[in-house]
Amino acid sequence: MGKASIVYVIGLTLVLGIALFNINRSSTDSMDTYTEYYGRTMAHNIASAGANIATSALLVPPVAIVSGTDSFAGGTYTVRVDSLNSNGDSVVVVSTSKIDLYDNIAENQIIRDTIVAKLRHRRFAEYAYFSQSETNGYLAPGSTAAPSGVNMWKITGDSLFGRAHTNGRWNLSGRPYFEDRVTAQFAANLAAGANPIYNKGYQWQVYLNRPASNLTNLEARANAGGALLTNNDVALTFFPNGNVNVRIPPTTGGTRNDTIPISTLTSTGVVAVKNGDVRVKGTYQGQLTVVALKGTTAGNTKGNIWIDGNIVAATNPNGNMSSPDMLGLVAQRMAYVTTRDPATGLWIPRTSASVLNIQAAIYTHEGTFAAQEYNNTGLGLCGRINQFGALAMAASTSTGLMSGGVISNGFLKTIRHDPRYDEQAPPGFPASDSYVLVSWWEK
Amino acid sequence: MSVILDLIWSTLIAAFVILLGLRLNASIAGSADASKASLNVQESLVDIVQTIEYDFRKIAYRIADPSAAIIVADSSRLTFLSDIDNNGTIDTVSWYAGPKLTSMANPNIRGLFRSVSGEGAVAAPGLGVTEFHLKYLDQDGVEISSSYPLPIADLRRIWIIETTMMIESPYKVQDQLNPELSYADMGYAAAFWRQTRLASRNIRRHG
Repeated sequence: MGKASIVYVIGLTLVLGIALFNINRSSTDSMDTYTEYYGRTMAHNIASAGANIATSALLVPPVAIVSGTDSFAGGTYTVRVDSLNSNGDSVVVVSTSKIDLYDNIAENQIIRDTIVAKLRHRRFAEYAYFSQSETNGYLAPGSTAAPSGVNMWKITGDSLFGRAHTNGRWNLSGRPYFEDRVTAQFAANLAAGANPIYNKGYQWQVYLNRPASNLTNLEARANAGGALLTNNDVALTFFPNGNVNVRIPPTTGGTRNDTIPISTLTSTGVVAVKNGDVRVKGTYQGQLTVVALKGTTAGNTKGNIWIDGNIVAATNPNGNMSSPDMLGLVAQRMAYVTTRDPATGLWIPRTSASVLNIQAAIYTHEGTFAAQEYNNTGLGLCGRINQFGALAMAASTSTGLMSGGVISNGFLKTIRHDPRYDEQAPPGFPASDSYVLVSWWEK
Repeated sequence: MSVILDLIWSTLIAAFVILLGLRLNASIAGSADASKASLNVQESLVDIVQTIEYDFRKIAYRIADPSAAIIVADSSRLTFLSDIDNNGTIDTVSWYAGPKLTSMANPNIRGLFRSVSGEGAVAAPGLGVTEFHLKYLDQDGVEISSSYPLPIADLRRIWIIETTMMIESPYKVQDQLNPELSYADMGYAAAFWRQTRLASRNIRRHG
């Protein structure tokens, strides 16, 4: 009886022990499950922190390259920034993290994670509308007077189709419509009751630098292509067969007046006029960037692009992503829509029903895209400017005067972005040296 | 006579001890079962959550226009574009909850499906998903409260996705506090997860 009791007690203890061990193991496994999930989450968060720090340094001016190792939230991250090409306009940020939850140096118990972010310089052609500041930056032809600098407002009825950005702040009143993403360095200045429509959202504290080296690069490229013209105004009239008439000076053609293929005019796709203005119109075929650069002292008011008439692609890119034709118009000073006949000085006759079509990406480094003498009441109603392309300026555009919410002088305008410019741009078209995030890979 | 009485008493005591042992065994077995079921649902939850996080973090990856990456946003279905396997080809990825499965002991269990680029949807009903709910917030953290599925115009406003999921065991388990409950009154082992700020960095790219 005594032995049986001992065997019974030992047996019962054994059974209970095994059962309790199993229960205990379930609890331990349960904790392990949570610990592992916690560890993976922390490793991911640490890698995200490293990637965020590095990409923020690249995205927010002054741009800085941040590489190295640091501790964060009980783990460590290592960030590496590498250029993807020789220009340095594309970089990759690799952030790797590790965390040892068990305080054990065993390699297989360290949890790791990796995040890879790719960034590249933003091209100005990606914007339907870009301005350095939302102020009046109109520079009168031939004048060295400073622009008025007053705030320019987007109001009810104003619509922008494509990305819109300003390095200043938007001045918004009523219900202006932004079809695509809206960004700015500073939060918008909203008039009382303003309720703008941001169709794809907005983001502030975004700044895109506009390096002057874009212009010197274009000049060098034009020179390399044998198309750097100097010290005189030039008129370029394009034809749908790919030819261009070059007329120097524009009024007489006394120095040069010939019609040649664009590919003969320039082998690099860039034509530049230094210390002169360029007048353009016609139907272009192929890809070309036309540049107008200022001269020294006396040429300080040069460097303007004059749009004398419709300037459109031979293959209409509107609704046709495969159109091969692209034109960039780059002015160091201003891009004007011509309102006075250059030969007679008289107003070009237009009515409220007139339409001027521009299919081009326009960049003005110091001035804006504007109608010549837009604020001269002798101009009268000129109809509408339809721009399909991209527009980047030093200040806000000015093509007409408004009174009581309606146009009273000059042009109405419609700006639509050419979606082809999301991925490509006219030859050498200016780009920012500020980075933009292209992709973000997380495990 | 005394021997007979000893035998009777010892038999009674032995029977009592055996009954006690059986009861103890049943209780321990139920408790172990509950612990195991709880562990299973937790592991299932973590497995699914890691897969969801893996996929959702890649929404719009390598998509030129990130705002157009979400194709369908319903209360229990999400379809989006992404190069999900990082091979240079854009994939269409769908996550959605199916109807309740009548063949399971737990009538609340439903299949949670994942499909990539139109390939056959994969579901794992054994994981025990009973709730899969998605909520969509704009960049200000405000719920996009249009009726589901969201109209196309609202898809581009999605900035954050709040994901809620519950996993239950396929069968009921012993109550930890009241082991005396009958099977009908028992509950399922369950684990609940809500990710309130799951957002792909790719759909928040700068303008």
